[in-house]
Amino acid sequence: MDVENEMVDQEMYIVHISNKKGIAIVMVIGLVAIIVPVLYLLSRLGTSHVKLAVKYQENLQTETTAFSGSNAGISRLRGNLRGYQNLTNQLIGDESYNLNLRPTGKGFFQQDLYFLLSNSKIKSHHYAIMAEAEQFNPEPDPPVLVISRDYWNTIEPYEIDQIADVLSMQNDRGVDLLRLDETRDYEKNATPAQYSSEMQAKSDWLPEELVPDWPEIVDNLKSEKLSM
Amino acid sequence: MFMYQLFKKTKKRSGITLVEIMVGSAILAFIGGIVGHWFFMQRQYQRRIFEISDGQQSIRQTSWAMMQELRTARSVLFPRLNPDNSIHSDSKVVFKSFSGDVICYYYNASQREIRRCKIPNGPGAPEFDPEPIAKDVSQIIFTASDDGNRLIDIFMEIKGSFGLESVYLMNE
Repeated sequence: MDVENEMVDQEMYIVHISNKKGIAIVMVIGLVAIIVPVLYLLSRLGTSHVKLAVKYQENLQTETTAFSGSNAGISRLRGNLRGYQNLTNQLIGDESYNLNLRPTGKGFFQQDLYFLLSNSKIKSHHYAIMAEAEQFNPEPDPPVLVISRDYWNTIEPYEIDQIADVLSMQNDRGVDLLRLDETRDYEKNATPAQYSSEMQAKSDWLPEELVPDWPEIVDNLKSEKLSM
Repeated sequence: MFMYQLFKKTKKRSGITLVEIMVGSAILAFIGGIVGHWFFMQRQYQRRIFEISDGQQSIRQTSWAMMQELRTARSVLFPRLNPDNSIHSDSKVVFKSFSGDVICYYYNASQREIRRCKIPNGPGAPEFDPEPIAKDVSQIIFTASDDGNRLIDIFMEIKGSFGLESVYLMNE
């Protein structure tokens, strides 16, 4: 009888263990089913936002670096460095810029004329600046008078030491400069009254937000109008 | 005794009983409830954070788009300093672009958008960009702060985030 009771106790124990094991299996499967998707979702959240913020930061850094390159070019011209100069991979902090000073001839006062090109690239972001610079002869010593003008920017991936790319940049910038010539010619050829009335007449097409201040804007345009 | 042994044999199995599943499910439901509540709270919090982040991102992109054009522009036509040389702010900026045309960025309060239009400096009708530069804009203020009409401050509020940028015009 004792042996029989002992066997029954043993069986009860085995059944008890078996119950715990079953619950454990269901728990493990369930927890994995909950935790894995939760962890996946948490890891995905915020990634795209961080990427966008980094992208903007890189954009700004590329632009700032290219401007540093442009300023370095002007400094070189002020220091009376003359002739073609192509400087690549110039470091400013951790970032690098390229600088290209390309002579284009002589001006009316025998000043040297240059294309001042600078670009920077950070990862997939590009920024290039193209301007014209006039370098006067030093009298008697440096610093030389340098006048830079018509700054034009692009985010296209132009290589400023490649003549084909420089020509493309010149063409793109040239389109805008041709339009500038058109507008300047129009300003020169029109009388102040004609110019003013032509611009004032556009008021009918303008958005309502702009209409109340348009007369003031036309006055400012008129005050800056070029004359022959 | 024989019957008991038969019962014992049938009792040894490797499957899971309904009771085990129910107990396991009950514990899981309890844990799931706690995790779910915590997850819901986190989502709410993150939604608020993302809204701020989206606002900041929109401010950056909008500033970037306007600054690229303003930087190579030739002069600011509006706003300009007041006659007494005090600063002048407005919800629009009008300037002469690199190519000499008149460009305007203006705030449409009813649509809460910033829009751009190009007004030819000469004959021709204005051209409007089909898409706004920015959406969900609470306010934008352009401030003229120099008498040379070359410096413009841009202040923006989008989705509770604020941004302030300054841009200097490089061309004459």
